[in-house]
Amino acid sequence: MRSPNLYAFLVLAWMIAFAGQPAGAQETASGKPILFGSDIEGGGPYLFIGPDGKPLGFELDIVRALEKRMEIPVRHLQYDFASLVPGLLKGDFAMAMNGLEVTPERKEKVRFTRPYYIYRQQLAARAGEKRFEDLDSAMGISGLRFATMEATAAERFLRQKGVDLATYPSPTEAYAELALGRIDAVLLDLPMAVFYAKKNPQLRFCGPPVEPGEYAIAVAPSNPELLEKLNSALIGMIDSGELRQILEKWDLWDEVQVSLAGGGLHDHSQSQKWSVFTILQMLMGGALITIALTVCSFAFAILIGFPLALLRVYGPSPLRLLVIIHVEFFRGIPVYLLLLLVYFGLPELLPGLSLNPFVASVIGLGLNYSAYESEIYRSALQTVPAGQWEAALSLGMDRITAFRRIIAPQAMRVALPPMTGDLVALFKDTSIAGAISLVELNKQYQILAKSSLQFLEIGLMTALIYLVLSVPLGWLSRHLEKSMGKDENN
Amino acid sequence: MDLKTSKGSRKAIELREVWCRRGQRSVIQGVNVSVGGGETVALIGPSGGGKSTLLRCLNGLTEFASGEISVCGRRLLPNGKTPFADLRYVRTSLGMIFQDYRLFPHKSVLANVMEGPISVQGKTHDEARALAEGLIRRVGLADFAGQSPGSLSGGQQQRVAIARALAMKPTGLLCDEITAALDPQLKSEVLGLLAQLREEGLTILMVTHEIGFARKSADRIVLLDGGKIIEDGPPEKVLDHSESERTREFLQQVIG
Repeated sequence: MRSPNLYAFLVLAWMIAFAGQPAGAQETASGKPILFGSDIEGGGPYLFIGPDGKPLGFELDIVRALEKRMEIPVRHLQYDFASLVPGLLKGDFAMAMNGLEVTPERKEKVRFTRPYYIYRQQLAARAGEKRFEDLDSAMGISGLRFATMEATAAERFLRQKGVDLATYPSPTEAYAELALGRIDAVLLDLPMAVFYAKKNPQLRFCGPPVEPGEYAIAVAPSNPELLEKLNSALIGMIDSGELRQILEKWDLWDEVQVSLAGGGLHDHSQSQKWSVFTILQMLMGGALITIALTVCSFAFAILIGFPLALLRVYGPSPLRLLVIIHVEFFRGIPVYLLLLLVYFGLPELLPGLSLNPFVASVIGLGLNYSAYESEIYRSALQTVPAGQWEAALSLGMDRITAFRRIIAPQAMRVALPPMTGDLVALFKDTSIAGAISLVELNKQYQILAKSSLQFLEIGLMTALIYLVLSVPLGWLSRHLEKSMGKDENN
Repeated sequence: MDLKTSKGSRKAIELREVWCRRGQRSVIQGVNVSVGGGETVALIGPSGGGKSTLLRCLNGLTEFASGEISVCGRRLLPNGKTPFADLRYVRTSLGMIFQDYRLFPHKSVLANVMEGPISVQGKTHDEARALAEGLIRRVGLADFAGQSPGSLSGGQQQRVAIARALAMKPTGLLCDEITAALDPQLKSEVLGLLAQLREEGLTILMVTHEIGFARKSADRIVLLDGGKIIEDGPPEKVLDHSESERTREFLQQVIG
């Protein structure tokens, strides 16, 4: 899956950024293999794993042809699609080729070869969709929810139009969501639409493909030799008809590809500039979602965790066993996997159930943290000596009163410090909800950073917002801890 | 305090053929004993002889297997079958004091004493406070009312525990080795308080190793060994003129 790759990447990127020269970029001259970065997950028909387990794809065919013409071996490096440009810039690989659309933002960062394919964008809807016929009529309907893949030209286009938009790390998730009815229309590059949606009887294409653009190979600006070699190899492939053969083999040749011979579309659109105010405004919107998600998930975790702890400590042994299973299960699986199970898996089990991303996130995070909470309450309850029960009962209290007035308050004092830690951890863990298209703070950051390619500035702004929120959260809990620690004077 | 029962006039506690098991072992083996209203009875005997178990059976903290127990006019039923209303009556009639005090650490001294009247007897905060303040003065701890129990000495904590039990206006106290954890000096402040309460007519059944106190203040001494009653009589008879070999052996060990 891609988002965690991105976190790892960000950390690495910031550590390595100042460490030295890009490694991949300098291997061209020596005849050693060079790397091309591409994302194989959900990567049909560009580069994907075929039914026999071997990589396939029209871009792989193009790479093999380029290899021959340049007489340089080229190896594949698996890389998160949305991170291809920064990955290229920091030298993880020498060239990026992955249906990478030539956009003004990308042109500011990297050098593109001449195009090898002219893409257009195809709108898809559910087979029974009656409200719209094509992109234009769909745009006119309010309340329609669109989806696409993150960091694509389609995302850029839809954001400019200001529609209600969800983005996913791969086309498969977008189409799955469309089939489930959680979104209404998916706009994606034609090759993906043909590969993933055309054969699906639940879906249909709406209108002709629109908004043409170019796919080209990206190389680092510091590597003009490779750019030159790739360009001359591409010209050779176009002139000899080899490129056309490959595209025809993959059913991708159409009349617009003719312009490839002339070097493409010669589009000169301007890059989008985001003002600091707009960025902050969007990040704040994400922060609100993050706060709401934290509060609701923690409340849910307590609501489940507390009764579980009671059953674990005071319940009959078969129920105790169930609680142990619950705790070990939800503590033992990654919360990311749990989220995907709740959001994508649950509707398979219960058709018709359509959880929105927020509710699914609250359930996933809440279940995960309920395991930790119930363990905290269990050990806190067990720290209260049995003698306290006897003292309370000897005064004539019933068990519920004794628990409420004598046992629980003492356990609470023990439980509060670790709960505090959990709340802060949960606050940060909410960033995982971006995986199911909930635009919380971290997802908002990814959207903004990947669209503008300003990873550092927006990253630091986002970090600042996280800190501004989590540090007072720490203060608040420490204050609570202290006031709970004081003796009640009844 | 409303403690007008004349000594021995009515049975405050009565046990007939009481058996109590812990696992396979019979800890109490057919005990017959009674305590009259206003009487002070010292329960002595070697460790593991069943003294604490017997005491805990009387307010339902430990279940007994068979026999008859009646406390303050209410029957307790074997195997934990006593209705809670009866259990509550018995528990509020006979306060229980433990060796390790068991004050509520999250509450102040004052709140410890107020807790029972508020949460069991439904008294208002002000009523409970007035009552508790009086009792805390009574046990000599007026200056400590606002403090946390943990900051008090053992003897002081035990006096708070007694005040907490007295707040329920009991007719008697069950004392489970309440001075065993205290230094000699602190022992005497607790035992002195107990002697006063006896003078006021409270029924007291105490498990104790304080033979000296038992001789001076108890009306009767009961010696329990191996789950059976070996002796039951006035202090001078049990302590000085016992005909039983085991009694003399035990007393020799205790007195040294």
